[in-house]
Amino acid sequence: MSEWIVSADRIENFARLKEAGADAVLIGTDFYSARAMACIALSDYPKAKQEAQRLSLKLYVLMNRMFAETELDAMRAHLHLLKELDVDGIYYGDEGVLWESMRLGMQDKLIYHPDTLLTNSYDVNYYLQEGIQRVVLAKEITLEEIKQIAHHSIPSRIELLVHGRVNVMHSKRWLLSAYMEHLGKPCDLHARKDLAIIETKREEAMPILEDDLGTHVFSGYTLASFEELDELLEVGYTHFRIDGIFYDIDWVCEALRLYRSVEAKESKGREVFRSYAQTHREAHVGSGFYYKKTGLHKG
Amino acid sequence: MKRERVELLSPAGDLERLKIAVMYGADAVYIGGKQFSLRSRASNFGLTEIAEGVRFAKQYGARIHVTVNMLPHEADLEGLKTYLRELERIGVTAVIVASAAIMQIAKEVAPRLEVHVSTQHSTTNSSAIAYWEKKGMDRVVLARECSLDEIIATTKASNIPIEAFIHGAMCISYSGRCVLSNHMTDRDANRGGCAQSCRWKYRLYENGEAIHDEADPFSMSSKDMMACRYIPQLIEAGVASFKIEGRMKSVYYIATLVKTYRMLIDEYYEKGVISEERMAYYEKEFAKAENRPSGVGFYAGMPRAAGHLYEESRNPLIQEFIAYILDYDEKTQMAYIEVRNHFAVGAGAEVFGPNCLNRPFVISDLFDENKEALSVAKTPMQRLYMKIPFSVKRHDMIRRRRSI
Repeated sequence: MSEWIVSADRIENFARLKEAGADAVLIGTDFYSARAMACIALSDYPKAKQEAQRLSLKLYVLMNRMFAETELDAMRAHLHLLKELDVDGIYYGDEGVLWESMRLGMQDKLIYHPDTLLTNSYDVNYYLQEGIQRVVLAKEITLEEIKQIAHHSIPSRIELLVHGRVNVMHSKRWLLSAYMEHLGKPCDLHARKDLAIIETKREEAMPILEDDLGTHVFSGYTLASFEELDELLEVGYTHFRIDGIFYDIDWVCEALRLYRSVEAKESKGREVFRSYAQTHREAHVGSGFYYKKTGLHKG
Repeated sequence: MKRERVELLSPAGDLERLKIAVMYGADAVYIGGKQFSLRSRASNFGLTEIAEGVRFAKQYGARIHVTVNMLPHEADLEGLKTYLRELERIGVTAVIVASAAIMQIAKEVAPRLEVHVSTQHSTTNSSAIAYWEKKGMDRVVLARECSLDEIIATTKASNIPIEAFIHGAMCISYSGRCVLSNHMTDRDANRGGCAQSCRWKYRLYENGEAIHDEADPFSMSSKDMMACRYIPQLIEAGVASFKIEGRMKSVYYIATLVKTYRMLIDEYYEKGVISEERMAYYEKEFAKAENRPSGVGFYAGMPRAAGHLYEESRNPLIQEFIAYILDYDEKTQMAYIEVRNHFAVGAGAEVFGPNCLNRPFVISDLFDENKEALSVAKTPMQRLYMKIPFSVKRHDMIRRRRSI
C-alpha cells in the first residue's frame, strides 16, 4: 500500500487533497517549520487534526527548525502539544528533537528529514533502529543508489520527495536583507516567494526565500518522478511526497492525480513526464539527480 | 570540577604542516585521510603518513584527530572497518565523523578511538548533545551558527566535551545542509567536492525584474571568522577544544595562527586576563595570516551586511609570507631560505618561529645558490641565501613587515 503525502496550505483544502488522492497532509507553522508550503496558526492545529480525522487523512507536521539552546523550552512545549494532539508524524532535522522525543516516549512519531544528510542504507538503518517512524532520503543521489538503498534497508519506512522544488541550501543568515543593507537600499525582501537568483555565468533561476529561519535556496528545476515511479514501487518504496512550496493547491492536486494514474497503470510514467514538462514549461521540470552522478571533481 | 586546559586544535593538509602545527604549539592536529574524508584536495595522508604524524606529535605530547567526515553513498563504505582499526592501531586519538552509521561502526570496531561528532551535524543545543552522549560519543563539534551566549549555555548544560570553531573560513549555510555545488557543478559537497559555489556572483530577481547592482552583485560569501576576543569567555565556559579551520591553508597560516593562539591562551591562564592592549596586539598578529577579511561569525549574534563579502572585498590580500628558513649558519649569519612570495632587498621583514617572536630586520644581502648577488626574489620555492643579523632556526619563517 502506497502512501501519498502532500503539503497543504489551508485546512479548508484538506478535502480537495483527499479527493485528488492524498493519504496524508503535511502542515507547517511559524517558528517550528522550515520551508513549509504555508503556515497554519498553532491555535488551528486541533482543527487541522479534526479535519484530517474526518477525512481519514494522516496529519503530519514540520518541526525541522534547528533549535538554539535558548529555544529548547519551546521545542519541548511543542512536542508536548503534538503528543497531546496525537499527530501522525513529526518531521525533524535536529537531533535534539530526537532526544526530547525519546524522553517523552514518542520517537515513533518522528520522521527524520535532514534534507541533505541521508545518502546511504547504513545511515537509514541507524535511524530506523532508533525507533523512529520513517526517514526521508536526500535528493542528491541517483535512482540506482535509491534502489540499492531499498535492497539494503526497509523501503517501506523510507520516504522520497518525488515532486517539487527541492531545497539546495539553508543558511541561518538573512542573506537578502544583508545584501540590501550592503547596497543601502531600503527594500524588504523578507518572506517573499517571488525572488530568484541566477549565477552570472549561468541561466538557471533558483528560487530564494528569506524568512525567520534564515535563507533557503531551491533548485532551478521542479523535480518530477512520473517516469521513475514504477521502479520505485517495484523495489518496495511506499511513501511519496509532493511539495507545493512556490505553487498552489491546484498544482499539488494536479501532480497527485497524475502520480495516482501512473501508479494505477492508467497512464505511462514516461508520457506523463513529457506532457507535464510541456504544459509546465515555466516550472523547468526535471529529473534531479536520478541519472546524474556527482563526484569529487568537475563532471 | 577542575577542568583540563583547553585544547588548541589545528588543521594540517600534509605532514609538513602537521609538524609545523605541533612545533608551533598545537595540542592536537586534525588531518584528512585519503579515504572517507571531506576536503579531498586537503586529504593527503595515507596510513603511513598518519602513523608518522602520530609519532611526531607524541614527542611533543600532541594528539592526532582524523576526519572521517564524508556522507557516504551506497558504494562508498568498502574498507571502512579495516581503515578505522588501522587508525586505532597506529595511535590516532580521535576520528571526526558526520555519518551516524560510521560513528556507530567506529565505536564497534575501534573502541579505543574517540568519536567526535562533526560540525556537519550542525549541533546547536544540549539536547542534541545529550543524544550523542547517550550513544557513547566522546565529543561534539558545535555548529558555527552558535553565538557566544549560546555556546556558553550549551557547554554548561552538557556533560561531554564541546569543541568550538574559533578561526577560519565559514560555510554560508549550516554545514552539510548545502548542495549548491552538487546542483551547479555535479561536485558533491558532502563527499569532498565542494566548489564553493556560494561565493560566486549572482543576479537577484524580484518577479523576473533585476534588483541587484550589476557592479556589486549578490553573493553568499561569509567573511572568515576570527573569535580571539572571546577566548577568555570560552575558556571560562569550559569549552574543551578550540578549533582552527583550514586543512587547505598554507604552512604560514598555520604557523601564525597556532603560535598566536598558543600565546594568547597561555597568557590568559597565566594572568587571568588579557588587557585591551594585548588583545589589540594579538588581533594584529592574526591579521598577518588573513586570507580574506575577517569578522566574528555568529559570536556576536546574527551577522549582517558587514559579516559578508561582496564585490569590493574580493581582491586578494597582500601576501605577507616571504620565506621559510631551512638552515642558518651562525658564523656567517647567512640563512638558507625557501622563497614563498616576492620581495626585494631593502624591504623590512621580521622572523617568527616556535621560539622566536617577530624579530625585525632589513633585508640586505641576498644570494642565489651560485653565490650570485640578487636584488629581488621572485620565484616561489627558489632556494636562496639571506643575511639575518641574529640567530634563527630551521622552521622559523620570514614575513613582510608592514610600515607602522
